[in-house]
Amino acid sequence: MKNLDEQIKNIYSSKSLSIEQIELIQQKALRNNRSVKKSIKYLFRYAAIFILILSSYFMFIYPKNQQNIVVNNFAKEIAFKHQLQVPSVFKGNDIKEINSQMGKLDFNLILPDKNTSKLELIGAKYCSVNNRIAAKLELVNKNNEIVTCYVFKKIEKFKFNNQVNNEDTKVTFWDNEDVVFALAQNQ
Amino acid sequence: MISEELNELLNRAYRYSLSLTNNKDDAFDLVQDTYLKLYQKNKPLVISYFITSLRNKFIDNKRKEKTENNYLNIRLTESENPSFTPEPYLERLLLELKKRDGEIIFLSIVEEYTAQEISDLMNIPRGTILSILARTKKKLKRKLEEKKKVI
Repeated sequence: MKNLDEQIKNIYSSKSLSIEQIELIQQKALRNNRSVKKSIKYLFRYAAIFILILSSYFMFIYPKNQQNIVVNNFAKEIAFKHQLQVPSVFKGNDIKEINSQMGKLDFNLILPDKNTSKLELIGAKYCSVNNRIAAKLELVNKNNEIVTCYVFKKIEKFKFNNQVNNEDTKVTFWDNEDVVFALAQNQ
Repeated sequence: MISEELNELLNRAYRYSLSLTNNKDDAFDLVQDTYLKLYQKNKPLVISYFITSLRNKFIDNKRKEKTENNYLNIRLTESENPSFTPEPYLERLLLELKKRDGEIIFLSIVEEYTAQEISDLMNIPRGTILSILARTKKKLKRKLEEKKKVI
């Protein structure tokens, strides 16, 4: 009797895949690989587009949104404080005199350089805007209406040069080199 | 154009797969799926790695079919309709073996794995492998002798 091991080997070696079967296995692998590579290529492409859109958003749109949110918040606070009509502490119409009295300010207090040609200074007081120390100038127009102008140190990150309507109060922002002015008047 | 090496590799894998499945179609599918997986992942196409991956794939498939518990106890009932006619008599005897025993016989005799290599692959102690190998060969020889006497 032929050795058992030899017999078993012979039985198994008689079992083989046909040429067609082997070709089928190989072709399927190649086809699959091509489609996987294609999928990866598309994935990278879409990922790149997504990253581009995301970065564009954060570079251009997000800062503008933040800007708008910040300015609107400032306007709300200023409008509210304007309506409170808290009287001035430092009376007078001499801005230099008032500036010398308000030594706690971290900027040089000056009169607003726009929109105030027909307004007269009657006083000032300390206040805060967005937790920053500010000066509230009390001005009166030709109709004897009180107009307040908030002055605070310029914030580098944000630009203040627009007008915001907040319920009954119109707040007009502008800035110069050192400070921001926010003129609040009733609508 | 199919290389000699690939031809050889796939056929060896197919024979091993037959020792696991006893079914030509299942064996072919197993070889195909394993080859696809290794090819896609750029894994080495060597017989030892192929056999390990093929075995793992086989077990995964069995788990999915929820027959893992019966894996060691499969009798002739599964191979009642083998997809090939068991000739000669020895081939039928091989089909009748427990799956585990048949696999050990294949790996030891056909692929010439050492007992330690089989132990590492199947996660069965080396001593048990040697014991099963000896017992199974003895059983096969005895049955072949009995058949000879009958003839």
